[in-house]
Amino acid sequence: MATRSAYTKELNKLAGHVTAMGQAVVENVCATGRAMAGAGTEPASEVIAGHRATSLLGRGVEDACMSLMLLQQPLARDLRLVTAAFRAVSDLARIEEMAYQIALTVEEGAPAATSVVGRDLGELARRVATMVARAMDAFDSEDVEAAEGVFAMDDGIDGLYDEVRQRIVDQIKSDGEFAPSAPELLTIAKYYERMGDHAQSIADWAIFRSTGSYRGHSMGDAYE
Amino acid sequence: MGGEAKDGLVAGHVSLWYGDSQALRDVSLEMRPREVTALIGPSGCGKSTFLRCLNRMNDRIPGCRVEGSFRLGDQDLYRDVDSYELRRRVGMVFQRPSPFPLSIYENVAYGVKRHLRRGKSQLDATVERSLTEVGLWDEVKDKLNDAGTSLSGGQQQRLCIARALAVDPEVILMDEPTSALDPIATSSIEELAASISRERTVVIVTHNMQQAARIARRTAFFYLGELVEVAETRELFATPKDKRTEDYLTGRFG
Repeated sequence: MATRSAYTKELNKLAGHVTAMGQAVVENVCATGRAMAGAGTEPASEVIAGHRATSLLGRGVEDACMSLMLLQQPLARDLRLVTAAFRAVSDLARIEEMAYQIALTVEEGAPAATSVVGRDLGELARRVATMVARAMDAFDSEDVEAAEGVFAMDDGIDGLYDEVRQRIVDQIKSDGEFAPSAPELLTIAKYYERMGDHAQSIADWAIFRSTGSYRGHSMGDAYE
Repeated sequence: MGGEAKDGLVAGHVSLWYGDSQALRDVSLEMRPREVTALIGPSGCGKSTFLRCLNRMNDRIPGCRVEGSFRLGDQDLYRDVDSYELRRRVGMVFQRPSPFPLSIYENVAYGVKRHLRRGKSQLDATVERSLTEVGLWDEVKDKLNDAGTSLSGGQQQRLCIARALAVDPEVILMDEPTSALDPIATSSIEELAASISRERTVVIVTHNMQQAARIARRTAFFYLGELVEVAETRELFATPKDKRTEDYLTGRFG
């Protein structure tokens, strides 16, 4: 049985779980950044250890959305919350999965910290974490202006990604010993760049939650 | 004479009183031709009162006073059309199926005989066309002389809709037409309302918001006798502009 008061509690719980997942994902991205910048494998181990719990939280949010749709047929702002949460949690799950893959790469011995791009990858991680955190703040507070601010941050991430990639290419040319670790480092850099796109997508869903209008800035699915 | 609706139904600045009690307050609403318009709102909000105004069913209620205009094309329904002609042009389907205590055939033929005075063969053709339009012909063609009340609830409601359609109205009004029906019969009536709206103007009062979402192009929200908001159904249900609409749709009234 799902009474109306239970419905309101479920909606509040859903919003809380999305917030919690957002915080977990931001922490994971920060942890990978610390690993990139030379903090050893411990931060990566934390990400790996928390992977299953974060995945379960994401699944829980999806189940809650399905359940609310099925049993309560939400409308208006409730419908916007459930729809936006269902999609935002998918973006968070993708970011978390990429952070997990980075952490696995670190544990397997990717020499990011000792490479020429270690510090830059750490900076990329820091910027992405900030971007995700701001997108989630905008989502939680239904703040369109704050969400708009997230899109501008992606240019900085794309620019830094291009620099890192070029530095890796230059290093391959000048240092043959570096070449074997280049694919992992390029992949890690690309992961961060993609995380930025998912952060933009979360900002899109923050705007949708507030206004009902989905503009699809990110992920190559723009409507306009 | 009847047929495809070219003009919508337009209510302008309608207010209504039952004695000293005001039930509608300055309601203006365009119900577009060949569309379903849904009227929603809590009990007592005035939506059924407004619907009944559209074919002057409030006329005979003692102490009832109506101000404002109701236009169908270039005619004012309260000044230019007598109530007899009006009810041919604006049909009504009620909450509970209400077949007359007559045969299935006579239920459908009843209005045609009174309004259109057609011959037997024309009458037969009209009965068949109307029953076919509501998807009932194949089910009842071999028992047209059985009592209308012998049919199931869903069939009775379709019979009532066939009765309304038989006189070729431009507008069909539906007052919670599925509230007494099971989900299968409800689905059938919803399909029918959508189908009827391809040629006619349909206005439906419903408490079932999913029903409004399924069949209505536009939805109007009434509260305390006031038309609070009207918009495309998709827009109203996703992004209502008025807080009262938002609170009603999300169940946060009271």
